Amino acid sequence: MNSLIDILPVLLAGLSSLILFIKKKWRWNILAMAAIYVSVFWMVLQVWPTGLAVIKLIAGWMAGAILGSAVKEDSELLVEDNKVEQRFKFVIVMIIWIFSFSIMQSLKIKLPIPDSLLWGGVLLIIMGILQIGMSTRPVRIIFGLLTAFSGFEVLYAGVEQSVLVAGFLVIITLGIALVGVLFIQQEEGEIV
Amino acid sequence: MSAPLIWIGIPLIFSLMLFIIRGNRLLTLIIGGGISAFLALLALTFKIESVFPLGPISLEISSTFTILGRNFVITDSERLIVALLYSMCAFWIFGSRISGTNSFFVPNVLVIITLFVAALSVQPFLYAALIIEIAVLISIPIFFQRGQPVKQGIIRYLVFQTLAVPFILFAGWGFEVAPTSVDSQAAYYQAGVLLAIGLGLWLAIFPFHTWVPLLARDGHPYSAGFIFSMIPTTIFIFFLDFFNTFSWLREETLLLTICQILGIVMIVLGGLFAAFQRELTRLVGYAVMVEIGFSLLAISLNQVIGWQSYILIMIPRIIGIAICTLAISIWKNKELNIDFDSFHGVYYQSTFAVLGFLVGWFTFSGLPLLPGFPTKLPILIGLSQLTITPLIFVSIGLFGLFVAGFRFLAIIFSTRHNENEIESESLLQKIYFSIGIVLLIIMGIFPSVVLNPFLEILSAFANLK
Repeated sequence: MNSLIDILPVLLAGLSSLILFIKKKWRWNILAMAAIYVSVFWMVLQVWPTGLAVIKLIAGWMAGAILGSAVKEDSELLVEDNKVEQRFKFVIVMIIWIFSFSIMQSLKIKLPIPDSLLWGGVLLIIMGILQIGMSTRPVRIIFGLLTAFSGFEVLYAGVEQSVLVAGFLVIITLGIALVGVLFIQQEEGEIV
Repeated sequence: MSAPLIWIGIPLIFSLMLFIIRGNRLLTLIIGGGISAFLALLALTFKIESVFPLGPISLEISSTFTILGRNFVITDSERLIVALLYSMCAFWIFGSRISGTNSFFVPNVLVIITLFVAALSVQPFLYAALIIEIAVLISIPIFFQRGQPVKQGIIRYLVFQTLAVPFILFAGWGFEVAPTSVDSQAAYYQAGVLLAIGLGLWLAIFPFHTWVPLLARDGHPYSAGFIFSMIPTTIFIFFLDFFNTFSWLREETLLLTICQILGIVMIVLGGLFAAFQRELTRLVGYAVMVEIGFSLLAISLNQVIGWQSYILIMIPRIIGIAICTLAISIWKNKELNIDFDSFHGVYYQSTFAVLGFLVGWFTFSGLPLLPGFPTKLPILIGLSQLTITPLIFVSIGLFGLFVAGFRFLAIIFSTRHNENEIESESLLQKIYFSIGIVLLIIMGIFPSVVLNPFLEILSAFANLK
């Protein structure tokens, strides 16, 4: 990594995915999702033209907006955070981060992409998988899927610049968000 | 006019229309089933890249459609694959009339099959992974059942299918860069590992098989059956493309050995779990595991006999799963407890559904005179040519399926402890099950007449003949 500008999106990705993982408050989750996609956009900008990279940002924000609009003020999804659980999750995240940084060098040999993309992508994938593995609520699993998939998008952007692939990835991101909305509606008994 | 426009564009528009009018169930079913059957017939009769005189004008169907710099190509040799997918689509859509699926089923199934056709025709073919993922996302609403929360099986299915995409895409990228890599052997090996993990997640291959019995239990049985039959069919055809394109895959003995071991593990696990399972829905999930195992064994043979069995085994599998899940759906709709203990004397109340389930089940088991036998036998013969050990394990798995079938048989004729009163079957149900049973029996008795024409599918894969 060459400069602070390259490190900042990785830090943003790490921080926002950490917030998404340990906080259960709905508004915090949506904000963290938005921040993740800002970091994705920032990282992808290093290898893609701005016009194409901005698609990631718009798609991610749209996904967040879709999920955010599905939750009502009186929803059962609005749960309070548990301090003990948060601390436990924080420790796990630290362990996983150390592990992911330890495998970074061997991955670097196999994937010829800029360091910041590699770090950011792997970080998001690991955080996403951690979220999927440690959640039972469908909506939180959707957040995990979106996080892991955004990490993959960062890595894949380094090796592939096809417009059609970018389009398909946008459809998948929005599709996962829409499935999340369906899960919320089904949980609340709104689907007939 | 291009072939992708006919077999991808038109059904996509129709499925969108059907989604809007999905409240009118009968109309949706007629249009959806009708358009699928029509497209299947069209694929069987129209030749691609040929000129058709149509009164004063002539019509030529080109094979390629270009969008955003990438091509969708349906060649003449791929028409049979398209016909197979759309005919199965019609089969599943018409069957949904009595299965009690939700209103999303018909439009979503049509769009899923259309996307599968798109996935098999996109160039470069690795982009298929993205299209299949879109189809998976579209398939989620068909599992929802009124008043029930989202269950673990549905979520796990979504997670496993989504996590497969990165592996497949990176495997494709690996295959592309491997020839120019400094250590191309290692690059090919790494790409192969990624491909194996991706396919393992997609096809529920051990140790990623856990979503299959869970989805069978948690999703609507008929919708789960559709996914169990059509996703492996599409992915196995997609997999053939890999074998056809990359010759080193066919020569890599390590890969073929892994395929054989995983195939045997799937068959043994599926068979043993089925033998001890009491819940009918999960039973079908285990049968699907055995079927996937047989497809892996067919690949591992790497001979003409293996590739032919690989294709032939798909057809009875689709019908078998359809008929079994349809029977379970009907019993579930009548609020019958889907446990073996609740099936005492059910034969006398639900004869056609029981017969349908048994014919479907013994097709999976490979009972002679049913199509599972002539399609699985060449695989077993191929396996036995090298060593007898794998055959012993495969027999254990098949024996497990037989045990489950005979346990069910022993219960359905016994009238004691029967507290469940279920309504008798409607005429429509009798017709559906009769068609399914007759189809399977004809396939089993005359496999060379009914099944062998499907071997034409292999003509799309020139290197595998």
